[in-house]
Order: sequence, then structure tokens, then C-alpha cells
Amino acid sequence: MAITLNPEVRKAALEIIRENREAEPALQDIYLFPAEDEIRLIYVDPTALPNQDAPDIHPFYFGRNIQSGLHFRSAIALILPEERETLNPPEGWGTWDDAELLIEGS
Amino acid sequence: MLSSQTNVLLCQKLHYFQMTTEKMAKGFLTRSEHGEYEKVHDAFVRFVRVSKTRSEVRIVCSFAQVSAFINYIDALIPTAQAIENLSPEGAPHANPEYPWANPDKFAAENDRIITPLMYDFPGLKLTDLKMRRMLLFLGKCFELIERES
Repeated sequence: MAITLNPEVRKAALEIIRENREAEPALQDIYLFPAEDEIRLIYVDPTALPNQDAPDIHPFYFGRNIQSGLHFRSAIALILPEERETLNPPEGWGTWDDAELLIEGS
Repeated sequence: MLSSQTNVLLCQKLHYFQMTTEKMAKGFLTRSEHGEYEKVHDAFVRFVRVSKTRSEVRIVCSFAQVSAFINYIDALIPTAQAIENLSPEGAPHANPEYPWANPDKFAAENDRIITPLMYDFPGLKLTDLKMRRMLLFLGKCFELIERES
């Protein structure tokens, strides 16, 4: 069954991305994977560490934090530009085609 | 506090410290509802790196400005790498768990093997400034875990 993206999740994701992009202009492509109640992001970052567990991507998971304005759980992973073609999205996130490319870098 | 314990050898303190950072980072790799432990490499440095993107980590570390927080985390990364390098995996090297071969080929026979008990782990004493900063950061991360529980 296809996973759908909750519009509120998307809105919250954009807030996170806005802050991250301001702080780290080196960030390139940013992918948002669909989910009902979790923000699932993969950042393509030329300064990321090489993935030692290919072909899988293992994101870090963070809980809700109302004090910080985070109303959804979130998961994030950083990959190198060249890894976009060689790594698989995390288990349960779908395929790269399911993701929305929110920011397309150079 | 681990750093103030005088009856614990440095290698033991570093071993506990390295294991704590590894387990803490791997905790963040685990989805709570699955509870399955992720067997991955190099979790701690990657966690420190990802924490730059997290406003809740910034807030628990008491940074109002994002740019200042980024600089703070960037300054921690070399120390995080040094701690992660304490893992005994890979080619023989200084680590707090097992003896290793002295890389000096001309070392005296008695010095051919180095033991963690006798090694001084330069730059990694828990009283060193950068290690104290890392201990504080680690404490903040556990504070965040408590808040999210």
C-alpha cells in the first residue's frame, strides 16, 4: 500500500529544512519521504561521512519535542552525493521515487 | 562523575566512555516501536554530525543562535572521532581494551607489546578541556533522551 504524506508533516519538515539550510549552505538535495506521523528526511551533504553500512541507510530517530516546536517524531540521515545512486532508503520508507525532492542543490 | 574517579585507570574510564557514546548514538538509530538494535558502524561521529540539524539538541545545549551551535558541534567532531577510534576494531592500534603491537619496529623487546594499562592515551584524559566539553555534550544528550521518554 502506498504511503501518503500528511500535509502537517510536510509543513513541519519544511520548517526543519529552513533552519538547517540557513545554517549549512553546503547541503544539496533534500528528500522528504512520505509518512503519516513522522518526518523522514535524507540530506545529500558533500561533508557527510561515507556510509559504512552500504547499501542500507540508517537514519537517526528523534522523538517529539514540544518545547522545541517539534510536534512529530523525525528521522534524518546524511549521505554523500555519490551515494544517492548506490544506497537504499531506510526500510519501510519506500523507494527514491516515493520521495519528494524538496530542495535540489547544485 | 567518571572523570573525578581516582581509583579507576584511564583505560577503564576511556572504555566506559567509548562504550557510552556508542550505545547512546545507537539508541538514536533505533526506532522505538521496533526496538531492533541496529548493527552499524561509526554511530557516534555520525550522531554528532547529525545533531547539527536538530533544534532540540541546540536548545538543550543552551544555544539560541544556530551559527554558534554549528561551530560548537564542529569543534566537538575531532574529539568524537578520537573517541570512536578507541574501538579495538580494525588494524592494531591504541585502544583501552586489548594490548597491541608497538608500531616502532626498533622498540626494545620489552616494549614490543603495549598494554592499555600502561598507555597514557595522549590528549584523551577526561580532565583535558576537549574531553570535558565532550562529557558535557554527552550529558546534554542524555538530558534530551530523558525529556523524550
